[in-house]
Amino acid sequence: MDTLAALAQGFAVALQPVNLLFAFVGAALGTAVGVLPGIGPALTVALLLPVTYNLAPTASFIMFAGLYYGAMYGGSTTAILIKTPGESASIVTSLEGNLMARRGRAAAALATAAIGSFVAGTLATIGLTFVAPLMVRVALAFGPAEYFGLMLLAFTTVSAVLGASRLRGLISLFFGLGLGLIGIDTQTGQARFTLGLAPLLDGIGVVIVVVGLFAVGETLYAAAREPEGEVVRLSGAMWMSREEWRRSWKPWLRGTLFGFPIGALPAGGAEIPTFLSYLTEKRLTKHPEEFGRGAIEGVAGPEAANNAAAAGVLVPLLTLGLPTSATAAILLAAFQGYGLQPGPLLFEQRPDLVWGVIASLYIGNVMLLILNLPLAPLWARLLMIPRAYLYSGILVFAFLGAYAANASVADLVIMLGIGLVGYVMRLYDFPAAPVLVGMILGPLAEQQLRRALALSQGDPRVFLTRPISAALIAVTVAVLVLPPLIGWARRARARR
Amino acid sequence: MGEKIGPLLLGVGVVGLGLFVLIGAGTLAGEAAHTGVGPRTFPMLIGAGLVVLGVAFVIAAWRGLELPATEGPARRGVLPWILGGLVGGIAIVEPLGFPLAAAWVFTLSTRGFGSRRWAHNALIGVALGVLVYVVFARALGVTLPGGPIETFWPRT
Repeated sequence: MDTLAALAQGFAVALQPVNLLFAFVGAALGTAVGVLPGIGPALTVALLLPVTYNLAPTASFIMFAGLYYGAMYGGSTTAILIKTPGESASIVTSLEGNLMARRGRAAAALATAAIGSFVAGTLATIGLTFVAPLMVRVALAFGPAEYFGLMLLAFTTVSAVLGASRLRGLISLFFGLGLGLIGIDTQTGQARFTLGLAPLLDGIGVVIVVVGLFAVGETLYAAAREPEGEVVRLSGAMWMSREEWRRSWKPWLRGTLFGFPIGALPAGGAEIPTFLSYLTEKRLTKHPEEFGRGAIEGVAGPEAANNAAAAGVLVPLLTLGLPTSATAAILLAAFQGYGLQPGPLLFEQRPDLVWGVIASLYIGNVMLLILNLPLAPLWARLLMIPRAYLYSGILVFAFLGAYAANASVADLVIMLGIGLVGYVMRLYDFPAAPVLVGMILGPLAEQQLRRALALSQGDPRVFLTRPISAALIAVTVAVLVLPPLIGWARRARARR
Repeated sequence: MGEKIGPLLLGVGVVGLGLFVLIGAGTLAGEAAHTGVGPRTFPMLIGAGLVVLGVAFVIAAWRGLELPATEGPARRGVLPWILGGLVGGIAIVEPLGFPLAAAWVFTLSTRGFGSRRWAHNALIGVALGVLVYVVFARALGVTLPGGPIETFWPRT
């Protein structure tokens, strides 16, 4: 009952006209920017951060809630109409979705994606509403050793499970951890790795790194390639036939069932549930001949899974302060910018903010459905912007975002440097999310490590004698060691 | 052999970064005496991790790396335009203001993407720069240098 009362309070905050306006502006901007090719949800949120610099925290996070979901909706439009997924979780949508669009069923593909996102987003937000308070209770029992174990697990799953190459993911992670070291050590007050430069004393901002990696790095990469892929023209109403409804609703629900729980795990991520959903729909469909030529189930399921996971990711973010995706890392940085640390304490100290944001997720979902169904042709026109103008405009906004954070030219220089690193990473297929998770979670992990060891008088066995932390570390080791062992065993058997 | 050079250098770079972190960590003062864990510990772990991963990457690169199929053929000579745009923009943003810096970034970047309509692009760049400045600096109150705009439209 407590949860419902808190949620009602949240709705009281979110339904204030000003906050409704912020939710709407966030949803509209998030969709508009998220539609642009080459801009995924993480960059969308980072680029639109300056809009919120002078807002009060509650208004600002209500807008973020709209931005976050809006960027997801926008991303699926891009994935379907041109085969350019803005993020790895949309890859699956772009497979069948783009094929459907090429067969003249773009409107149905967009509709099943939008309605599926709405169904999954709403169900997953309900899940968030009821799981978050439970997680808060669990989190209160966590000490530094448990937090450190949890962070180790998040590090390994974000970098070693997702993405093509375990080694490259880990290098990205350690690069991010290294960036996180820069600045003043919170416990002893001495400067670390600042090279004697004053602007580095406060550390490198997450926004600078996001904008460098995703905007500058991506623009350099895009400029160095010939363009490919064409935009599929959108004609006809955004609606589905009775047959298409019948084939969509079960994949929506199954996608939600994959997306929310996996997203809500502290290991998180949206990639795995979208792939699981795709494989499941492919196995269960009554129209197997359509897979590979544009099957509606292959759009409905993964899109639902993607949005449900996006809501799921908010569970560890809000209750544990643990970001498990690039976008979540930026949201965490935004919280820190207001001097707020997500976690069990935030639920106690700022219930108006936490529950206001959760309530505005429900509202944002409704707004996005209304924005996306009739207005899809309008959003699709954004895809017609010529590449030269699109990417040059992205650079201008990157410039704005990096400068406006601190009104500092030094930040622009750092952005350029990180952009060059991002270009090289893009060339050699290094994932970017582990860099962000590493740089934002690294300092927190170090804090917990030092606290745990201070409490145990320097005895490192503390991580193994406490059962929860021991279990988390065991899973971490298994995640790192088992897949290569299995691969090795398979090869050994194949040789015999 | 030719295509191996890039990844090999990259791996060596990662090792170098790791060594840099290790050496930097060594120069840090202060060891929390009773726990043995101080400001050095975590940097040491990260530096060591980078060295190990870098060596592993060099080995992997030597054996041949699996790279994704590149999307479309490469275009040469575009990066100097875009980098020149950004470097120039960084140099002029405070003395000449954001609108002109944004116009410079925009114009050179469009050239990098192959557009040669200089005057047309510069005009769009100026318009975009002014628009962003007015919306963000004047309407939303974000700190941005206005340059010439501020002389005939002073901030209140």
